[in-house]
Amino acid sequence: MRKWIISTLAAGLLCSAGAAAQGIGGAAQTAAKEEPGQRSADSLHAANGQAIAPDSDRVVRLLEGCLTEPARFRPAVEQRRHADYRGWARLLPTHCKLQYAGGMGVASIGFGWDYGRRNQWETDLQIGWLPKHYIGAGEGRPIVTFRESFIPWNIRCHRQLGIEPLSCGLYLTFIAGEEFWMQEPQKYGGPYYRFSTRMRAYIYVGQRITWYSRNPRSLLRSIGFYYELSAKELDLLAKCTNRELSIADIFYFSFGVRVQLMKP
Amino acid sequence: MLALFAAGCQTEYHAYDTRVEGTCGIHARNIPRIERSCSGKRTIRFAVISDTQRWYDETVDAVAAINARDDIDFVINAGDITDWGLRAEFERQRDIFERLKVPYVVLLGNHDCLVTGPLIYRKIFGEPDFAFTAGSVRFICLNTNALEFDYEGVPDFGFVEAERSAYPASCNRTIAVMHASPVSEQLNGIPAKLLHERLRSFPALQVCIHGHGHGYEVCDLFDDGILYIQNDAIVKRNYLVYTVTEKGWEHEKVDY
Repeated sequence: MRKWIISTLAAGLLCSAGAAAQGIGGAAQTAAKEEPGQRSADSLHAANGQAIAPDSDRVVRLLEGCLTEPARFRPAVEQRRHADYRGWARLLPTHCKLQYAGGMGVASIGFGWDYGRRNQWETDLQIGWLPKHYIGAGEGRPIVTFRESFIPWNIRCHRQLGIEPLSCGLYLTFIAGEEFWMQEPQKYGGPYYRFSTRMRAYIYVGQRITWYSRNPRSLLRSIGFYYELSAKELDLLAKCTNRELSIADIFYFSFGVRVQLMKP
Repeated sequence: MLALFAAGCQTEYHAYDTRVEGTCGIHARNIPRIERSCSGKRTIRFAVISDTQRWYDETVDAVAAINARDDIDFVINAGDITDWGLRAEFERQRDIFERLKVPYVVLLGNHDCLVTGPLIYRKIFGEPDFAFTAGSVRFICLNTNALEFDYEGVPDFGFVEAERSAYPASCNRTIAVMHASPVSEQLNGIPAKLLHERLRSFPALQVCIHGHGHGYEVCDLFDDGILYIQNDAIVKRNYLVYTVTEKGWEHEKVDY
């Protein structure tokens, strides 16, 4: 069951990444015609010659269109740009996330920044919590996570719906608690285990779907749902020398909600 | 859809969380099986593997090799089933051992003691100090990873004394099993001979079996005729087979 689902997810990732690659051509032409930073979702759709659907049946038509009429609903790569920030305000976080699992605690909450020419890069800081029940200690343990993501494509297949077919990146988790160490305790008298129990490094791949607000000046610009499949460095190391370990054995599932915040 | 993913995929709250999935309480299940299957036997034969950490392929092959025989009564793993003490490592190794046709026990190794390792070990296997009977031989299995516990209660001499005083009348010989030998750095704070003398107080101590050093060694550590036999790590693709009869015991290194 688990292997089947992992395979399905991997196939989904590949297929949608392929679709995004096809969409890039059209999007690049569109982008060339417009002034960077001035594009809105509406202008993007107008440039693609795509009529805005009435409210009713919008989602159904959209999904049907994506699946059956690729020419008519030609996907475009959305500019993840949100140039409303000016000056120091650019340092404000651009989004918040709430995530379940992923080695960051039962749940973690955090904020982050997206940046880059098409805002295809994201840096997140998450704080998670591991309840005492799961660590066998007198109290729970906080976990701090730094995550760097690359999201190459945003297929805006509808005025209010965007799909990011691939997100990938790295993250580091640090757990608090005196039972964990960055450097081995003195009692070992030198290198003994040669690794840190406090810090774990992960790679991940995932996908996202985002619902955009109809009001471009709303504080809540969009809300997105994502899932990630992540593997830690120790498991990747073990996988290198063991045929017995499958990819499904070392990847772990997590999911979350991402809220894009904008200056009103 | 997400619920389907969550139900089908493994999740992890932290690499060292203690959320063990799958079979637990293995010693409580396997020790009675060993005692039943060996009851009344004059000759017992068991295999010992050790230090299976992060060598899943070799461990799978060892299990297959032991399963291909029909003369092994049970299997002892002398510890270090994990390299980093991660929950996932315990679960993966357990899932491989569960393929054994014969019952098995696993000792706690020093790598298994990292962070939450002892908690996970207790859940999956049981207490790190335990004893069982096979035929008329009493096996005393000890946690000797004193350094990992800052020498607090390890080795547990109280357990040794209790076992000594409650020695079953049906047993007349003893075999000791541990992960790190008394002269290992794990027991630096304990006079090496102290543990050995306690073990010698058991009736007819035959041999002391251990792992930790990753190399096959047979040593008369204290020049008193009691051999300490160290297993190869599983990466060297062999296991030891011990045969205990009423006349004595012998061991054999079996490559696979």
